[in-house]
Amino acid sequence: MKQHKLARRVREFFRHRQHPIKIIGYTSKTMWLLLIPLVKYLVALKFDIRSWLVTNWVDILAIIAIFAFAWLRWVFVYFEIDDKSMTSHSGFFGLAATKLAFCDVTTVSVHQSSVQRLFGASSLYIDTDAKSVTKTDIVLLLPKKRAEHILDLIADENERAVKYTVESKKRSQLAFSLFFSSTFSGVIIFAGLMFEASRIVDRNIEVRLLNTAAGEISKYTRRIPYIIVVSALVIIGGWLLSFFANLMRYWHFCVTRHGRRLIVKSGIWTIRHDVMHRERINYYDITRTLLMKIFRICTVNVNCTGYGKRRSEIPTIAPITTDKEVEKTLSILMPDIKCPKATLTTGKRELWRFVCIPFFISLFVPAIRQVFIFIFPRWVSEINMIAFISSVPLVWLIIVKAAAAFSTGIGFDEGCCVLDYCRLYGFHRVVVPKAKITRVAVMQTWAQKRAGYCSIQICTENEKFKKHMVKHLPLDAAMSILRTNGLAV
Amino acid sequence: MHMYKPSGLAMISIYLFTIILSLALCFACGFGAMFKSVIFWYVMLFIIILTFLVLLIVVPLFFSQSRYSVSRNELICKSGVFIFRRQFMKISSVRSFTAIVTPLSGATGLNFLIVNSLGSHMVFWFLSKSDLNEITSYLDKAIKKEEGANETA
Repeated sequence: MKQHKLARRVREFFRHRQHPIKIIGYTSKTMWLLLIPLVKYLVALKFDIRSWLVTNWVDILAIIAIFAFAWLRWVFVYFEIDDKSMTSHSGFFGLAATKLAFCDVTTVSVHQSSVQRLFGASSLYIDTDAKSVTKTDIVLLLPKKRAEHILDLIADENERAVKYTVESKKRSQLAFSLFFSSTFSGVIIFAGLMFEASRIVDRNIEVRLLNTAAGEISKYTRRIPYIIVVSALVIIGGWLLSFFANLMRYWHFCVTRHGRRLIVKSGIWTIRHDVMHRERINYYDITRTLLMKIFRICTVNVNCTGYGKRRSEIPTIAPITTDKEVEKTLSILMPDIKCPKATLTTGKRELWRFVCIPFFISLFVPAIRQVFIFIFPRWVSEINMIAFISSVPLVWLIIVKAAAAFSTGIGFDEGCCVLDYCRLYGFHRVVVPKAKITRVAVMQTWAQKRAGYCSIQICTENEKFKKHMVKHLPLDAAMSILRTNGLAV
Repeated sequence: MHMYKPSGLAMISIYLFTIILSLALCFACGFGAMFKSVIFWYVMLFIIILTFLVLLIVVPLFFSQSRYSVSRNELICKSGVFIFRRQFMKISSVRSFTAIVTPLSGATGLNFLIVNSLGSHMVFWFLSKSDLNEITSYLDKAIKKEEGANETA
């Protein structure tokens, strides 16, 4: 009987704790600096444990202390759950308790990386609109079944409610990865990998890797300067890395509307399962680049606290869809937020206003080139190449801004507001329920004031301070449309 | 609707502060120029020009352009020096506010009010102490009323 009671207590203990693999997560990263040489010594001593212990006892004690501390943290971090709320005790010795009611949850996510899959673990993220916590409210590493159970408990959906599912095609996922892969994000992933590796081994690995790769390539391209080879390597390598990361992330992407919830599943390497509360979605954003605009395709992102906010994630609900299909997809997934028509738009008359700033910036390139040639006369070919490379995005920006003049506007209907605008190289169509608008600003530069134009900045309910700026609208018309909708006096 | 303007005392305080700061920097530069290098004279010239710009253009423009109004349903804030900005926030979206009262603010007019809503905020610069108290007590009542209405719903 006593044994039975003890077993039940042990079971209860583990039911309210994280997966034991988390103990490794709680160990210090510098532990590897001790552990690797220790293993090396053990191999060098041909597994003579006694002499190994005698020579390395300080390091071994340090590692035991690190593990003991991690185990203590694991013991003290626990959670309690009932039908309507959850309390997580985190921090050192479980001193910080976070309690949240399930009805306030905006997004609950269960993510399982392939490493976690080996141990049957998965990460549970729970977010609410509470603004005092900028990060995820509750993060726990739990056994997969337990995490899924909590997700079901929070989602608490009426099983009989009809499910509407939109699955994206493999072709679309490939296109999405192509369009949304960037050298910059690839370089960030690579830098992250190198940083983590350098913390364990040393920085030489990064330098050696880049130099070897650049050296190998420059054997075949002797006439191209070394600096250009390295830059090309970084750009192409970064882009490829980003492409594969995106492909892994959004493969098998499918969204389901089930009652008041929106369920998103995706990924191969890391399997993602996110559940959003539809009423807490602040807005949706139909995003496209100029190329996507030409090919009449777009991607639909949503803003809901907790969804797509972790590193390198895009909060999408339709990775790639055609302009024809987008309306159908949105009517299935978001029937409550209907897109009104933009009633106040810009056009040919405002073309110069959109184009002038990138045009003047692009004029700087030849001027700066001349200055650099004057200072470094030996590096003319390199300077010419860099000047050419840097002028390409600026010329493209002029073309994008010219297109933006014909696709900027604002419109309202009874419940929603549409904002068409272009930020840098991206075109956005943001549809936001009027009730979610928190601040409107009408801005005028001196030039705009003289010509009677303005820019409208709209902020919505959001976890962070994020603004949507619709530029170069006629002031009187803009004020009148805002007044009619109770957003200006 | 109640209209508010930035306090005149704050303008005088900023003038005094700018003059004292630029004089201190000029003395430091002059001291450096005597012993070290001629470049300090150029730095001093730059500081003097910057001070005149701030005193003659930026501060008067800011104080003449800025207007705040608080009504039953909304907050409006007009301000800006090089970019003129009219901000509008519904009282119903106000979630909290932060009043910053500096020491001797009754004499200096250096009081600020930050009104927070979900995903945005609005700043009322250089309010006099009485104006600040009036606005904060009004906002306090409005927030409580909003909370009451939400609870009833």
